[in-house]
Amino acid sequence: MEISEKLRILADSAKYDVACSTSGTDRNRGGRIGSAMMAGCCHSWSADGRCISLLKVLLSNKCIYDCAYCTNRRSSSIKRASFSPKELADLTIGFYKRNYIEGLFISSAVERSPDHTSENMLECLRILRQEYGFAGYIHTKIIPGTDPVLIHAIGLMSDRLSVNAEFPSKESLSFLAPQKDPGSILGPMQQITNTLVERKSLVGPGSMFKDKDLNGPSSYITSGRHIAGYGSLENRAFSSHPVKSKREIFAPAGQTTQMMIGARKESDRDILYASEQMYRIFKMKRVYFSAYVALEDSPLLPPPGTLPPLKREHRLYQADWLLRFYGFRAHEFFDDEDPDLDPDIDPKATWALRHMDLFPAEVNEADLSRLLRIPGVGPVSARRIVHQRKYHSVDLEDLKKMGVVLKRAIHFLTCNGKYYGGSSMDPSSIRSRLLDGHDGVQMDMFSNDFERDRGQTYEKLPL
Amino acid sequence: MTLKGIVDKPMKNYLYDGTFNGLLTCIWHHYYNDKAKGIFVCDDYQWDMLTAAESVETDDRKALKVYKAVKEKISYTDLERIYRVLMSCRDEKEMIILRYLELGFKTGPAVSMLHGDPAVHAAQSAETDIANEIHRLKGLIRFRDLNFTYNGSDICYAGPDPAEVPSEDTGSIPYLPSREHPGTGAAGDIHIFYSDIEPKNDLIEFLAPHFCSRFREQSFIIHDVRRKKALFASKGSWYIGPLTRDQIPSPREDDMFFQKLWQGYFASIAIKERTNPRCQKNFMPMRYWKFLTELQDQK
Repeated sequence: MEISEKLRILADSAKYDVACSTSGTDRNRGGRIGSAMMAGCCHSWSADGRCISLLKVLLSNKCIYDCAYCTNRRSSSIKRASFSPKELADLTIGFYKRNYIEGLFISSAVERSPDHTSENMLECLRILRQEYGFAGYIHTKIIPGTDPVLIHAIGLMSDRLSVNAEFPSKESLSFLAPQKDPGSILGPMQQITNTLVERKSLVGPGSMFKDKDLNGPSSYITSGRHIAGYGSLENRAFSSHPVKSKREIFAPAGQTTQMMIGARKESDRDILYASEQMYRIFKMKRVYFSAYVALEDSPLLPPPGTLPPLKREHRLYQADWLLRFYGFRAHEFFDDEDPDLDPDIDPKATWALRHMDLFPAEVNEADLSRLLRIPGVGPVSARRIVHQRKYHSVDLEDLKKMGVVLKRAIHFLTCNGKYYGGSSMDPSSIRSRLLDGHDGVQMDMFSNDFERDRGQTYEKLPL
Repeated sequence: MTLKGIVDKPMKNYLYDGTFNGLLTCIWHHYYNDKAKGIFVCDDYQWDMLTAAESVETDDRKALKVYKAVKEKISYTDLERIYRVLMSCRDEKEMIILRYLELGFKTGPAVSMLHGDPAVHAAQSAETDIANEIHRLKGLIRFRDLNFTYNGSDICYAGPDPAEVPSEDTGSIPYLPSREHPGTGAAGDIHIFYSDIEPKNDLIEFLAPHFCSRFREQSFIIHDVRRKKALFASKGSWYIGPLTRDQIPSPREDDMFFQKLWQGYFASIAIKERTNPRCQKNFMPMRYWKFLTELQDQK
């Protein structure tokens, strides 16, 4: 098969993997070609508006598993292909030299066995790192059930590792992916976190653990061992090996995971609670959400043609940001009645409307954590406010220059005691004012032409 | 200001050569001679009868005096900032710099924190503008592996018969600094990766550190087509020199192969059910598209 045909098939099979971030590691380590920068770097944007920064492909899409939701499942009739490790390494270098990409995102279907597949992936990474001296960014997807020794070796060659959680509950997983057991997913996650703790390089998500030491014994996950079914590195032969040299780095950009949205009947609450666990227990850098694209005809899943829940995915990402950078806890987004986020208003404003007793906040007095709770104020503008009021008081004009989104914020704050938000502080009246034209541009970015073409507006999935 | 004040200190437009030192010389004159009403690049200046204008000859000693004053009385970071503002595409960027420095000489290093002041805000937003474009281009630059050959003495290009090419263009690709081919050595193919861009801001020199550290063994050219100049780099060293389009040979055949692969990849990675051209254009404005390999059929 021609390499171009293989690339087409294997990119097509990989496109539902979400993560494409290249941030979190600043490196100019040895090697002959390549570097990575802390801020990350996007190289292009595909027609769906998602960024392309890594060459995201599967090494193979020949799969022994039969997960109902997956296009690559054994019983699916798609075309199959595999790269040899060298082919993929050559392709990566060829693309990298032309600045098409920032690095490689390597994943694979399970060909023969998890270990067999992981050995092939490792060989590809070895060629890249050792033969070609490639020092660019590599994100490796860990196949559930891979031997810890292989995971460790892969981690030493990768910048970031991820294991797909797929679903927020064990029930969904065993329902839709009967061949993957929760232990084979949680085990590698635990191993990766523990290895990072051992190497004192665990960073954690956003500013959630700012100023806290994550690399002490308290971050070490031991309770999960019996869930995982096998020990973490401490019981393995090589854990007693000292780190060989300063240059031996294990997954410096940490680990991430992803969950599918809308394939099963999980509520937003289930998803955000599970995300919070990923952050608090495994200290992952990110949890990605992937709106399920209904292609598979299965009685277990939404019927083919059901629109991907993009708006829901967007609201979940907003809530996820609030968890990582704003000091929110997952339970704060929900009251007892509704287990889902309000699709019409962003989660922070929803929360604020339910807690109007805390507002309006005076921008010249509120502390940083309180400023961060004001809708329309972000971490950057909150810090600017705190900084500027050391010199002189902050007025409404200043807020605009600092990047505060006034059309939202104005209902929830006062400047030097003056409230600019209109006549009523009643939550329902503020809500309707927020809905009037607010957020329009932003939401439009996330609605899609596919929906517009069919004259449909967004509706929740019939689950 | 009283009438007397205006008479004492006439204001005039200063014209300079567009260089950083030229601008610093104007600023020197602003403090030691007449106040500046405006500062303009000579070539772009529209003469008018109402305002006196003076062409300022760049004087490195005067410039150095201002350079040192900024560094010592304000800060080195602010010196870098005004340089970036000068390289930006803002209208009246010279006056933005002057107002910023006037404030800076009063307040010292604290000037960069006065976000509310219009002078600081203008400088900041010009700087953000160029910084954003630099970051964007780190991703959006596309290199093509061009058809250069090395004949043992100078780099020439293996295009059609040189006789068919207009004589002044024959093989006149600027020499690249190279340790491997220091002017003598075996003849053969060398790979030079070429990229053309048309940035709004004058920024190719800011791209040099990033790409030099990334492509440590690769020779490359980043060509600012609009300003007819280019960054020439090889093995970590680089310089900026003039370059025009007609000096560029065609890409190699194996480069065409990679271009095709990349276009194919670009098409298949998009999820059809999520198609969203507006979001795509938001992140990747169409003015960059004509130089992007993956969008060659859509420009």
